[in-house]
Amino acid sequence: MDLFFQQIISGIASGSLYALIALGFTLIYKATDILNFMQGELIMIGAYAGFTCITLLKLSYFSAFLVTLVISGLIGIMLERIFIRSIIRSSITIIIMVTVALGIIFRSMARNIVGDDVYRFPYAFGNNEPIHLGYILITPQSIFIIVISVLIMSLLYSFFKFTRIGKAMRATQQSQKTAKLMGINTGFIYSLTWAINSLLTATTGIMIAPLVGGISPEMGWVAVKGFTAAILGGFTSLPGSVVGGFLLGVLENLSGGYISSSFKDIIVFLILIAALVFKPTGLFGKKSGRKV
Amino acid sequence: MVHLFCPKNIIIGGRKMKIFRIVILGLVICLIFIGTSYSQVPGVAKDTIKIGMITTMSGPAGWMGKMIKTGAELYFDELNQAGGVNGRKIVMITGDDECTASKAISSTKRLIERNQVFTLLGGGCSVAVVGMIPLIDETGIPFYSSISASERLVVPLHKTVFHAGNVRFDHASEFMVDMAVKFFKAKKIGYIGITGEYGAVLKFLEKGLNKYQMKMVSVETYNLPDTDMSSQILKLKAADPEVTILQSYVKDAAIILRQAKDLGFKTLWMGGTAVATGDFMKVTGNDSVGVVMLWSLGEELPENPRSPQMVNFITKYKNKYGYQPDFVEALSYAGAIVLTEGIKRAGKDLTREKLIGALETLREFPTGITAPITFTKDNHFGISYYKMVQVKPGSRREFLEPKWAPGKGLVIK
Repeated sequence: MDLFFQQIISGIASGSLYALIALGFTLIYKATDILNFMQGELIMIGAYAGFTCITLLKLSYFSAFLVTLVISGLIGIMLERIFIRSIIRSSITIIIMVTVALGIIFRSMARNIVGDDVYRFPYAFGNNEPIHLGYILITPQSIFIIVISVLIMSLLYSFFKFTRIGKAMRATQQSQKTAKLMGINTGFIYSLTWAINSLLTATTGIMIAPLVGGISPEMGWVAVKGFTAAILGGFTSLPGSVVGGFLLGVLENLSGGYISSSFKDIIVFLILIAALVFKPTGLFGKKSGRKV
Repeated sequence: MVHLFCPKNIIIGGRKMKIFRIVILGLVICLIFIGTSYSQVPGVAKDTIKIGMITTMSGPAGWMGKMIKTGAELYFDELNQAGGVNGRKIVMITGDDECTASKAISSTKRLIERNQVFTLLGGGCSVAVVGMIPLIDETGIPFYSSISASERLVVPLHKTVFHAGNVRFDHASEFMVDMAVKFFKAKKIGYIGITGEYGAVLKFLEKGLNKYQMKMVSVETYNLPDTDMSSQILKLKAADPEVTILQSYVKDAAIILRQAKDLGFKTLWMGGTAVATGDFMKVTGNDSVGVVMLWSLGEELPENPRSPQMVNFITKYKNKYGYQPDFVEALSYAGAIVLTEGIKRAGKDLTREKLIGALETLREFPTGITAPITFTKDNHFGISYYKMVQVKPGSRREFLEPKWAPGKGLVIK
């Protein structure tokens, strides 16, 4: 039974990574109707920015965190102004291709600038010694990620639900034309969305870097799991993304622990397909009125 | 028509014409002979030999190719500055296998057909190198593998393939099992490793354990690019092995060690050569202290070179490329030394057959970088013995005392 509970706790810890990444996917989709396939590379850029602040500028972990947020926010606005806004009315295929291409460009640039070496990224709290809760172990970094992802989810949820700008974002996503007619500055909304998304990806990059074996140009691969979590939770729901992330982490751990580690991915993705067959909108997603 | 090209004072059929014809004929025969003696051997010219470096320059293991290329390049540069081998300078042309068999085949074909290289050197990802073998057999081009760990390069014997690189999978498995059982006296052994060609070592490990009537207490695998190994580690923890074999690349090994620490799993980790790098210690920090790893550079450590050849290699490499090389660069440099020795022994009238024959004459050949190299007609695997190193605090590697030699097994003093 101890093993079972430890598998659940470990699943929640790894699920918190997926939840954070899933939140980014959902945010962009919710506000701009775009499936952003460079999310993994934005996470990588955030991690490298944080690493540069810590190692070259010798900033503390939390100061580096703040500087990285500023840098990433600016990168997000630039990306939106230079690349995304001009294709915002294009077909979904073009938008997907542009984000995929940008992701490849960023990854190749990283490889050319810093090489393929993997760098060790520090933990938020010292050497991250695990905490014993009876027979169950959990690390401060995992608790930190769980708390931050739930906090971000709550803040974003409240932002979308209760603030004027949040409501404007939702309106823009539903119909850009109508939103414009209602006097919403859609350009500002797009820039703001990408800035928030970049803050989120930078936060994700810095927090998950110590847990995914260090930073490297390939570290964005973990976004595939975040994308899966977002689909599982329902692409339009922020709480759904978080629940999807935790659920994916727990499912992975239980299938790896009790069935077979070699077939872990196969089992998890079969469950995902089955879940989507019975509930195509995901666990918390709502039916969209439009087809793309 | 003939008159157009003949001097007017020469009478056709006369004595002068006969001498003239004989001289011309002689010259033509000489030119044809000289010409064909070079053109019959692809890649061999009067003053150059073309060598094809086929390795992993891009893809998931792209980091490896640069090291392999620079290691060999450094040696050939030194050699060319000293006048080359038998009066010929080496021209190295690089092909990228992208860590896939299909790309390895197309790049090798390009090197053979378009670039007309004399011989191939290098290798990288095992899956790519193994995929090239049918093409190498078909074309008969010599291939000196200085990096890959796959036993399939030389078992069964391929006439033109020589291998003296990383610790072979079958040897690695026997060595690890012998060390775990005889040296560390382990009663319970576990395994965690990647799926695919690099994880093929598992079948040899299980075979090795049969020798001691033992079985793995837990066998866990994962796929690239997994970032969560906690379920596997928890199963290993429940099985409580004294030694756990870690068949992983650097990044995933770092995740495994970190998660093992987070989940309170204590064991003696025994890793393959893929983790025996300075990078592994850099990425894992204190998590790697105590990890035991296979070592393919004889009794030489790049951070503490002892032989003059190793000192020369490290100094020149650092001067040229600006960083401390590790075992991959060193293995590639050693591969270039051995291949050059083969070319030297093959003589001035170089052919592929002569190179193969010459390499088969090497007995206990000292590279100064690896353990001595021996090839015979029936054995194209050259490394004579391996060692293991253990990571100590301060990211130091220290040799463990035992040696393991193919055919002899573990030697403990």
